[in-house]
Amino acid sequence: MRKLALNDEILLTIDKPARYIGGEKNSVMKDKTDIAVRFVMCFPDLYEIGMSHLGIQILYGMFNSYEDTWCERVYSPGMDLDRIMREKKIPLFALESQDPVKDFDFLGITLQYEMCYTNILQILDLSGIPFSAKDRTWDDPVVIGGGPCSYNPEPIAEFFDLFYIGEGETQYRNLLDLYKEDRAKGVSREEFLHHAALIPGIYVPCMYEVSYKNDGTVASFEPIYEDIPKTVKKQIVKDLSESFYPTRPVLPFIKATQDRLVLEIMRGCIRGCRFCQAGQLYRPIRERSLETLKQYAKELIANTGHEEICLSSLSSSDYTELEELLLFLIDECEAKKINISLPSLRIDQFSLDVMNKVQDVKKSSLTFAPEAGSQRLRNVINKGLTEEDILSGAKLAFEGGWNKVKLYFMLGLPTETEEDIKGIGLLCNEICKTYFETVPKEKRNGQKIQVTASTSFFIPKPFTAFQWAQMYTESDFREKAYQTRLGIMETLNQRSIKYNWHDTDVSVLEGVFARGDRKISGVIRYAYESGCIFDAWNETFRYDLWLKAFEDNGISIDFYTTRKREDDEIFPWDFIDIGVSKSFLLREWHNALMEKVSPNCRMQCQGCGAASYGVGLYCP
Amino acid sequence: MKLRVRFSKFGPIKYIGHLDTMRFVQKAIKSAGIPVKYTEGFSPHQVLSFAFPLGVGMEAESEYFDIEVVSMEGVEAFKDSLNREMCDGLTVLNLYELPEKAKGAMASVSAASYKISFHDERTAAILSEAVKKFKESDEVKSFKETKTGIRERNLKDAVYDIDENEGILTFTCDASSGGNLKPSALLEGLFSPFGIELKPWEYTLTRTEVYKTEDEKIVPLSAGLKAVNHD
Repeated sequence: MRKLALNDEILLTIDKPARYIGGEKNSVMKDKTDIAVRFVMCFPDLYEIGMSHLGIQILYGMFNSYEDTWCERVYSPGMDLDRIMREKKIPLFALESQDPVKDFDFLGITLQYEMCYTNILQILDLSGIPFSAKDRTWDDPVVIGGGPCSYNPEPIAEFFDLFYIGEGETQYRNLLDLYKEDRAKGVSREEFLHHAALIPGIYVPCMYEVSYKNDGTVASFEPIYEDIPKTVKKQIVKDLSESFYPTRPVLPFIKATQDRLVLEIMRGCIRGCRFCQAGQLYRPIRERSLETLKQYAKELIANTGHEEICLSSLSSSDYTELEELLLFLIDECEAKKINISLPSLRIDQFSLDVMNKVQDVKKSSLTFAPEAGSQRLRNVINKGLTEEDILSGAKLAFEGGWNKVKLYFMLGLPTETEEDIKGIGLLCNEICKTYFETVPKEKRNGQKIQVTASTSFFIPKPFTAFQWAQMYTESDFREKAYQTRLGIMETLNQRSIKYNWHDTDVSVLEGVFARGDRKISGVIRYAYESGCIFDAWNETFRYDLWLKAFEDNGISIDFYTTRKREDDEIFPWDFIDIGVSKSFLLREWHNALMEKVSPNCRMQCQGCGAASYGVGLYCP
Repeated sequence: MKLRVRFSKFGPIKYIGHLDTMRFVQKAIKSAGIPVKYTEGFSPHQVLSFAFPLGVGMEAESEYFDIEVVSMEGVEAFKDSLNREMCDGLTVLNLYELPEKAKGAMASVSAASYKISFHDERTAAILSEAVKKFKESDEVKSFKETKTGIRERNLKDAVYDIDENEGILTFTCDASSGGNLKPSALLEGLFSPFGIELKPWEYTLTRTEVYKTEDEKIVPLSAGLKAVNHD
């Protein structure tokens, strides 16, 4: 029987011991004596969050399909166990073997959101791995980062030996082979890192030097050796139907946050929303074939016995064979008593019919994401959705028996005015009006229309048209949320409208990390050492400590958030080539300021540059 | 058609609580292709009930759950199919056909037996004396805090059988819905006269059997039922 790293006394006193014992169905055990490479994959947040993530399941399955590699998992210990591990000097361990993380060859950390950065340090700290890559030796694992935040890795570059830029299915085999070869030859860690930097898509921070101008912006970003490429090119899967898919995912015993099977139908998005980072990062658009998806769905269901399945993509309505896929799933799942959890689909007669079949209309709500309150501002952000689309979709839904509508907006978008903010309340009011006009009193059955409007604060992200945009201050944000509430209160149907808004302080920090540079890493380390951890969690987030960390390190928050950036500024992430060119993004930035809409990929190619991969569904 | 499934639970998964174990078993039943019956409605669920929840940290040699199936075709192979879908430490031991009119697993439970081994020598050393003292007493009082106040109980009435052998304590006690005795309450009754207070991690606790009452005798939940699996 497997021996656990934690004893009974600890496991019986901490919250949810199941997070730390491994042994889940479909988790992989191997004999470590016939393994060449031991990889531990980390999601730096609680187990329940990390186990909801498809990316790790893909890489976990792929690595374990290699005979010479054993991939295990590790997540952030909760604060109760964190305290015990420090007190009793228990090193952080991987779930499968329960062996210390420090004994592994690789520690891979997925970077899904900026607010996990202090948890990276927690992982390193509890593992006994030096924070700074330059202080590590062959006694430490090679620490590699990946995922969306690695597209601006600079704020955390100091903590990583390598970053993987792009989709993991493509270059990992080469990296593992290089590692095996170099270790067998007995080369130094520095030499290995140098070799790794030559693999496409692998960014090795210590192989590059940054210099800054007097105003604090980047002056130059250069490799320190001649053979190292000046830019790092994003790696992508060419044929999604041929790439590895985890049809035998690890099944957590305790409920994960997203506790369902995931069928990834495509990557990339045809809609060029100017605020959206994912929409640019994952270009060009690639679909998985219908036949492949049918096969995967069957296998997933058979291998897990799960009771729920969902589709994953950036915009499922744009999948070319969505109708066939959904009809297949409805058939298959009804027979096997499996719930289908629908992604947010564009509301039309077809999607309403589908929802009607798989959801309880009385309980479920419809979701729209207009993102902005006025048509003018929706043009600025290039969100194709019009008020007419929303109202006609709502009308159809009300006729079908729905009476709950959720709307998502962003506050603080570039060029936003008071009128745009008022528009949020007006749009909500129009939806209520549509309900009253569509559903006669005698058909309401005592039900009421419920509109929920939620706003988040806009954060400019790298590799978007808005990477040049100025972000607002915290007090601006608070004022905007207040104006939104006021606008809603002034409408006729305000009693049917509920309003939620996000915290302002976390957004400010996210803004700093999103467009930060190497100067930030000291602040992150300082904040961690003064007690910041689990910053994505309200109950542990300490804005006061963060502010002090910036102040004590002499780093200005405004430099990263509210400062105006010139068109020709060199950004810290410019050395990464995602296929979409900076000149395209700049053109889009100017189009935004002119309130000019750009057609989507299916309508007309905008020449973003992603066609260079030669595999985009709509690329010329 | 109803089936009663007997299973054991050992090792690290003793840290998986009752509800999570149940969720896991539901998945195993589904992927094993057992023709389990589902309830009607928008979120249909399996007709499944566990006899007696196992607390976190407790291992078990002989536990039970009942399921309803829509077909008995191939029932001899259900056990193997289920075991292929189980995780490490969870094992289906037997399947029994349950007569239509039989009482459900949960309502049937009247008693349970346990086995406890102690980690520190001091406790193990006085165990035989403690058991002897317990057996000789007419009354061993136990106090339990409830919503309405403190409930007093004579442990002697709740413990049907108790023994000790080479430092291992075994006993059978009341497990009915109105009178379930927690093993920790008995340990307190046994050891508090010696000034010993045991923490849950200072002993290993295994439930060895779950019983129903038939003709005023306690018999395992599977007693009198026909096993339907091979071997």
